Amino acid sequence: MKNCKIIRKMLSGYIDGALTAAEAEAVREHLGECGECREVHDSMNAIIACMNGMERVPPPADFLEKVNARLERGSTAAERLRRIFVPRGFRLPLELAGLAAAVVLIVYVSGFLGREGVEEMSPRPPLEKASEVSADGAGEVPDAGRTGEKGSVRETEAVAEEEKSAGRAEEKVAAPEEKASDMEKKGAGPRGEEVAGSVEKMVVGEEIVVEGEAKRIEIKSSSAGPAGSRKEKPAPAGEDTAATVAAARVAEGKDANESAELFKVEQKSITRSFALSVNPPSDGLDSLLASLEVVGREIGAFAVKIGGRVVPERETAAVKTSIRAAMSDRRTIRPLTVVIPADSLQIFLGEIERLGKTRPIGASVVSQEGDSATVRVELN
Amino acid sequence: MEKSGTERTDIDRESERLAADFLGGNRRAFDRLVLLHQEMVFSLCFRLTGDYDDADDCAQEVFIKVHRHLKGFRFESSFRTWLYRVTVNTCRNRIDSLEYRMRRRKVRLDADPGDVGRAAPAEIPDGKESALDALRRRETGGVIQEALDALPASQKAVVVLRDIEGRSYEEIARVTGLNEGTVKSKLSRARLKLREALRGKIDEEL
Repeated sequence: MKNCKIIRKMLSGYIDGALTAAEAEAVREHLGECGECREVHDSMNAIIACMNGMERVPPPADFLEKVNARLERGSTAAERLRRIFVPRGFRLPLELAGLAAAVVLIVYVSGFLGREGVEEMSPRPPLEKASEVSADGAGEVPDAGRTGEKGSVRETEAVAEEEKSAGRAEEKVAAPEEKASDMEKKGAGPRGEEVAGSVEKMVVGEEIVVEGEAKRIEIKSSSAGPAGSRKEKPAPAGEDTAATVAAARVAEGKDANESAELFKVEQKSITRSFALSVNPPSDGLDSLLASLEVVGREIGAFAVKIGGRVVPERETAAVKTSIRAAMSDRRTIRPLTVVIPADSLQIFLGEIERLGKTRPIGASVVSQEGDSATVRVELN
Repeated sequence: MEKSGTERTDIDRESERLAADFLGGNRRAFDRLVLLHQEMVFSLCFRLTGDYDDADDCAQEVFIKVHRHLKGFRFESSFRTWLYRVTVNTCRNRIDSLEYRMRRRKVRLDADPGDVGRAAPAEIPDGKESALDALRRRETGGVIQEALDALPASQKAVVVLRDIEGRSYEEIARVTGLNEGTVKSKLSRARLKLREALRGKIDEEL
């Protein structure tokens, strides 16, 4: 029996003709005597022959077009997301996925909302964002080339190096947290709690879009000017209203010129945006939330609403409170809304689908005016 | 069946010519490079991931990496070996990903035993075999694919490269970064596991 065990380990090499003459002879002799090992040999041989005859699986007819489309688009959000979540060789138990995602979510949201400056607070217009992503991809080529100058092993390492960028990506995610902490130290925390509980409006230049659970409210406002003189039609109170980012900044004592600048940027963005509402499944919500956040950031999302309520953008503590509340009572978090640039909708849907945690099973335009539209997506 | 991958083949030479053209500024040369290798890359991705959509995505990713890193390729080794290595690494990352594992777990719970992800499209008989033979061949392939999917990633890569792609031990070692002895032992374990998994089905299918 002991002999059988040794012989069976040699069968693979025996079939390939990779054994020494003496080893092959020993195997041959044993197979002549042992029916069980002979049966193992024969069936293994048959399986190998069968695999040898397996035909290649043809790619879809539009494969080349898809490759070129991705090259045009640059590094996709999903690729970056994978690098963030799945560093090479790192296996996270599935049961910890939600926890890890929640941590990433809090870190990211805190950092995003804690950033200073108008330019960072509001996203770049979609076209600028798209070109930036594309430039990132192109910028990696020279580095890769240098890495690979010493032959195939180095060349492959260049690719491996790209895989290892997960670690760096994580640093990118983690970095804003320091800023967020700084914000809290500066006293944003208590104030954030207050704003989170107040009536919230989102000013978007000539048009204000307030996304509720099942309704869309428009509020007219004057265009850019001294913030104090801005006319605002009050939004209905309750959870279905959103935060006035500019107003919050005024309340914080920011000067009028800065607010006017913010006002202008937001106007530019919102006219090119969709409000996307998704109903996340009750399980896997943590990771879905995190995914939405990261994907949203990659494609230039600039506002996140939870339970129909816009997360106040500048208030670190308020966001943390909102997220914690959402995590503790999952039923309150429907729908989760991400406002994204209009021309990123397809990419967004694609990435959500690619993530595989949930799958869009239907999408409908709730309302559309000019370049702005509200889209509701149902996920299974 | 190709069993030696160390020497440059006509395909390697053609690949290198196209790569040089591409680096010289001919964009269409890259398209031809993709067309030349897409079937090999896609098929290997399918065998390693066990899912048509994953294979599609991974194979695209492979060519994006090739596009990105071709500038650094010095043609001192076989282009195809390099391509195999990029492909195997890309698929390994996918298999290790949380998203993939979550989905596979769902598939295992929900799907029919024989349904592995989204199966490859039906192959068209070449006229030399009957429709029944073609169906049998395809079913056999499905059963084997299912058994392959149950193998650890490194064993799966070795056995697929050896028994489906027909690569030599030496080339598999260079593709996977393992030494030849490890390749042989992983191959032996993989084949024994496959034989064990397929034992009850062999009589019916083969």
